[in-house]
Amino acid sequence: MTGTPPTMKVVVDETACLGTGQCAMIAPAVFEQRDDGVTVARDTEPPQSRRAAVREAAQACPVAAIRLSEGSEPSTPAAFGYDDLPALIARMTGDERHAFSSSSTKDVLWVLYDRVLNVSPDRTDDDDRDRFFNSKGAGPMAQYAVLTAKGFIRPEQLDDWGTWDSPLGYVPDRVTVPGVDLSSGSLGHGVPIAVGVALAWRIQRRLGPRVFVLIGDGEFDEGSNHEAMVLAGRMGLDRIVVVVVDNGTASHGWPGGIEQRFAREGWATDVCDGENHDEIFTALTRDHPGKPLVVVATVTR
Amino acid sequence: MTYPDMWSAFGGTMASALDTDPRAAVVLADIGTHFFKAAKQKHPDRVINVGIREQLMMGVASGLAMCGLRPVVHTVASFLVERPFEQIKLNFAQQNVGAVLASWGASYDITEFSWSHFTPEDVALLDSLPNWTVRVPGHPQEAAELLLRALPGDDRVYVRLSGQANREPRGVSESFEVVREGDRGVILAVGPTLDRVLAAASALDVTILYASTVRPFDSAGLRTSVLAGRRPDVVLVEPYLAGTSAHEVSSTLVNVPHRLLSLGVRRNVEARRYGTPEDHDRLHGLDARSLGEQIRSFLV
Repeated sequence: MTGTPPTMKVVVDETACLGTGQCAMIAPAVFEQRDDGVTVARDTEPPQSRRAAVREAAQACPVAAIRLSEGSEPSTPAAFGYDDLPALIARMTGDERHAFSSSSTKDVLWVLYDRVLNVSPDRTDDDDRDRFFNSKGAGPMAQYAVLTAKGFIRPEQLDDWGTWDSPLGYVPDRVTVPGVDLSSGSLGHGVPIAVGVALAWRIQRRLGPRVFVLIGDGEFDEGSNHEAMVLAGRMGLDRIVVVVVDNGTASHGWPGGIEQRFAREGWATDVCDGENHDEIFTALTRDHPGKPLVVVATVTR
Repeated sequence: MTYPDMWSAFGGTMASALDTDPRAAVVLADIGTHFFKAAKQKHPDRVINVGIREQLMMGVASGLAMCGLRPVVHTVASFLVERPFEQIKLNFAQQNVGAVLASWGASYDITEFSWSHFTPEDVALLDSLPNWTVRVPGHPQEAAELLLRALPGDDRVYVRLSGQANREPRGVSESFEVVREGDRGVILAVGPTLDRVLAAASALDVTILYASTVRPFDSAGLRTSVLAGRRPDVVLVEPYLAGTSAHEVSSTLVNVPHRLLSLGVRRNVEARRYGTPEDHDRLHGLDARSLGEQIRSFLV
């Protein structure tokens, strides 16, 4: 990978803002005060020339309501591979072996970002990029590690994840983390939103991108998934790929397999070993013309 | 264009907006589809009926908005606001996208179903989330104008369509409109309550303000009217849960010793009754005569 341009995202926590207006004075091109005094960011991704002022404004805010996340610097090209993920996860957990091996989603995430998704850190706002929704949300260390390996997050950002000043929370947030397309945490929201994305692309005649949604077999309990599954199948939304990481956590199980539910509603289906990279890749990239695709990736608990 | 009621104003306005605004998309759950039969032929992909799936309506709207479209989500108020409330919270604010939610069947409009379809809580629920604009039109023409005003943006807008309406439309505004000026108190009438408030207060020396937008709340307008009179007494008349805007009045007048009477749909009333909306007005003290009695005994 050649040097990717550095990125900066600006987020103002409107609920914390006291309306002192410091930021708007220091960086008027980026911050402005609404009539009620609360500051809003008029430019959430300011160019290089304005970033020094933005950093100063963030420092000056008395209640730290301005959060900045700065993406990959050209000096830190992504030079990480799959074997580096345990060390990256250890920066967050301090527990290399266990945290890595206990992640049920690490292999699916790696194959997606390494071989499937048409995304890169220098075009996180490209309308034609693929989208990835981590609907499962919880346990995001594997996703942060993969995003770091692929240059969306700087390695040192992992060290203080989950702290007050970090953009990296215990669930991923699309507003604060470059490369994250869905803010999650509560289960059962990713597939319905993906249906909306696929319908938008149909309106826009945008035939290139796909939206991949990662859910768990326990998450599939949520009825909202079933509302979305039915409509996506009936409408033939073939830009959607749902990956169910099935580690047998659903309290009441799915007799006959989760893929049977999707098949009945008109989806193309595949099943693979959720730790075998070639199997995952083959399943995720199979043809499914006119139908959405579900891949059930089985992982032993 | 004149419409007999707010629901048909919604249908007619949105059907023609689809012709002129390429970002607009209507998301339905089997209710209101009859307005869009012709529009569906012309714009098959921008009239989206998801079936009876209200959680999915919000997810679909969120995904549309993420890709730059302007979703307008419509069904009966109880199914629009209450059933998928977590979706409203997480699919819009948490994702940092917006949508227009337009409800039909306000408070106790749909008396033939009674309890299951009564939704006087809707504005209070949305008021518990940050950054929702809440429009409460008092006339079909206002409803049409407020819908059109919501389309160009990317913000979060709730438009509350009711079967109850005032006889004449008023201009729609972000500010409270001064309908009448007086000295002995201020009455803020929201949306379709205005005609009843005017009748109730015809003999009183009070200022009457009219609001078709309640969030953001026009604090400057209320404060100005209160300070201009001789008595800092405020009467709030809202067509939904009583006291929904009481906290706004309280913070508006935080440094002004004042009295407040909050009228609206009474809390803790389980109305297992059918009848007409006017019957329910009387139950909640929102008919002109009950309003007059309550307002007079508060001000005098």
